[in-house]
Amino acid sequence: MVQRSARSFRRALIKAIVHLMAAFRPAALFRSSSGRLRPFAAVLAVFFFHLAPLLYNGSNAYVRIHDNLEGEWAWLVLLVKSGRALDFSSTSVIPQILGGQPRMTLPSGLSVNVLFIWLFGGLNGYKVSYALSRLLAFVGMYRLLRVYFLPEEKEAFIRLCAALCFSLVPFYVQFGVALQPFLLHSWLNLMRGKANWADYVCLLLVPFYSSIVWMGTSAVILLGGLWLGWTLWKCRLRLQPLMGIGLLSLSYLLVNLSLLQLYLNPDFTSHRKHYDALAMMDIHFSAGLAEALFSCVVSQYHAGTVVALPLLVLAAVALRSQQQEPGRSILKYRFWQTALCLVLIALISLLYGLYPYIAAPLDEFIPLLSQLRFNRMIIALPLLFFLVFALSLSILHHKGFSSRAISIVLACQLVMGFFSNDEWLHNMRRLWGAPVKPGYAEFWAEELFKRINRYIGQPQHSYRIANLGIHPAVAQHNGFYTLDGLLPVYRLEHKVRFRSIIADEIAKDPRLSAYFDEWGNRCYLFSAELGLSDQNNLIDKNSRLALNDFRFNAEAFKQMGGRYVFSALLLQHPERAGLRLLKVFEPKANETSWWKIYLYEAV
Amino acid sequence: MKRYKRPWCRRERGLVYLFALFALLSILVFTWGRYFFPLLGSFY
Repeated sequence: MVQRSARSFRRALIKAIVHLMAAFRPAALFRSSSGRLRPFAAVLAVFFFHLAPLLYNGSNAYVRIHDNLEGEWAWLVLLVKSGRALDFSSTSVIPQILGGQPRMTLPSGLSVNVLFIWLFGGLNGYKVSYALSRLLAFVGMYRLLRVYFLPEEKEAFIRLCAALCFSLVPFYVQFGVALQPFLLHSWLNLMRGKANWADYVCLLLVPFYSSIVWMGTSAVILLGGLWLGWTLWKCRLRLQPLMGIGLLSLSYLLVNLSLLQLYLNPDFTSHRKHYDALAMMDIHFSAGLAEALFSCVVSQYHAGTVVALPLLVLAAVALRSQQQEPGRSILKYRFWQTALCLVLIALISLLYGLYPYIAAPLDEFIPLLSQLRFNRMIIALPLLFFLVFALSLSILHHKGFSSRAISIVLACQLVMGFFSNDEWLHNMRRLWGAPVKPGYAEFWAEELFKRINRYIGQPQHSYRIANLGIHPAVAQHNGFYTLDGLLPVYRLEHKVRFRSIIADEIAKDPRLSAYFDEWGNRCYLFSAELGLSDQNNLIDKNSRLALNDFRFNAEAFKQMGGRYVFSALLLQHPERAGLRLLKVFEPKANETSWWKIYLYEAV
Repeated sequence: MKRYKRPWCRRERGLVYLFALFALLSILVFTWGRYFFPLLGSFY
């Protein structure tokens, strides 16, 4: 059935491409008889092409797994399912993750995403949030460019395409990259003394649809830095923008009050106390510089991958041509705007790459520097890249670059945007009939885990489990109580106890022990034979991988309440690990599952 | 009447070729790069 629908999709797609080629001028579709561009039709077409694969794949649509289905989104779904999303009690505990952690360690329930999950469920909530964030990114960027960067009517096409390119960036819906243009626009209104009530409302609402860790701290530091720079440059004091930053900070703190409470709670010792700023990142100066350079040319995956090298070359050409022939004063203004954005990109990338050199020497005096990592300003890179892109194109347009050349550059950037968007690409792969990653329903495999639960036959809260070769979030989603998991903050005591279970295994590979000891947000069962890769927690049902020598402290596991291990791969000698194979659960013909589970019991 | 289109200058041509090259590279790297660069496999 799935193969047949993939075949029909392939045929339809090829037919559509042939028709377009036959028309020879695809752009003609978006032009009226008078030759004017139909912007609304063009925007709709790009949005349709962007969102259709995600919507068309239905319950098995691909949703990014890294930090999303294994973490950020799974936590929100779990909070809504458990009815604890709006539980602000300091004593409340979520028992399913990492042997039971305080509710306050999970993200705030005062979030638009929580509302969507509550209204539409996990998958449809994600689809709605994805579509909304892309729409907000587009509208916000277009508005920002029109008001503050490219206000001329003849630049509408550049504004439109740059905003579309920005909306294609594969950012995480939870972090709030989509709202950056709105935020910057409101703050610039405050700087110019043109703010109205809508700008204050924007500053108040942004924290409800973004992350304090990624967006909050970065926005406050960057806007504060811009304000300070402007004040020193002009020797004038404007309090309104500073008040705006204060309002934004206050709103973030109120929305994430539980996180603040957690840090102030003397009874809670975070595993982040054992973070090692120097060891957890590359300590070689050259490696840090390489990291900075890499961020400069492809951004960073948390912020959203952007193929930025051609954008930087474009900016260099634009700045050079402006320098050679200064021309109109508006172009001089744009020259400095582009240069400022480029300087910010360079500074943010350098800070990201060389952060250990700043954090480590100060670690003794300001431990928060290494615990909270203030180099997350990298999240502003996609916005800066596309501001540079739009400004450079407008400079070149004024310098006489033909509309045809600019259209081709914009079209190529759109192609790069589509293919660098992993969610779009995997959903296209699924439609094509060649998926390489699990879809949403396959990932959670609810039917398979119901069978496992029935086989075990005990209340799920009466025992604990751990997972090997499969993300612990899957078992948590299916109601099991896990000792392993992914959390940004959890009790140090749990980390120390869990370490005794995996100590022998991680001792085999120094990279594994460093990964766990010096970072440890992923408190997973590791295997030295598999190594350190994301793919090791996505071992599919057709895999023939087997572990020859897996070390596991079953006694320590049982002392923590552990009873079963769900493994996605076979252990050749489970008895050496103190485990016993109970049953192998293979997905039946009518079940949608990515996994084949080997159920082991600790003996 | 057919409109006259001036030939592209060197900079225009260079930028268009550069962007076209990167668009093509993006298609190749993001679609099949996972088989050659394991790091890409986490996402692509």
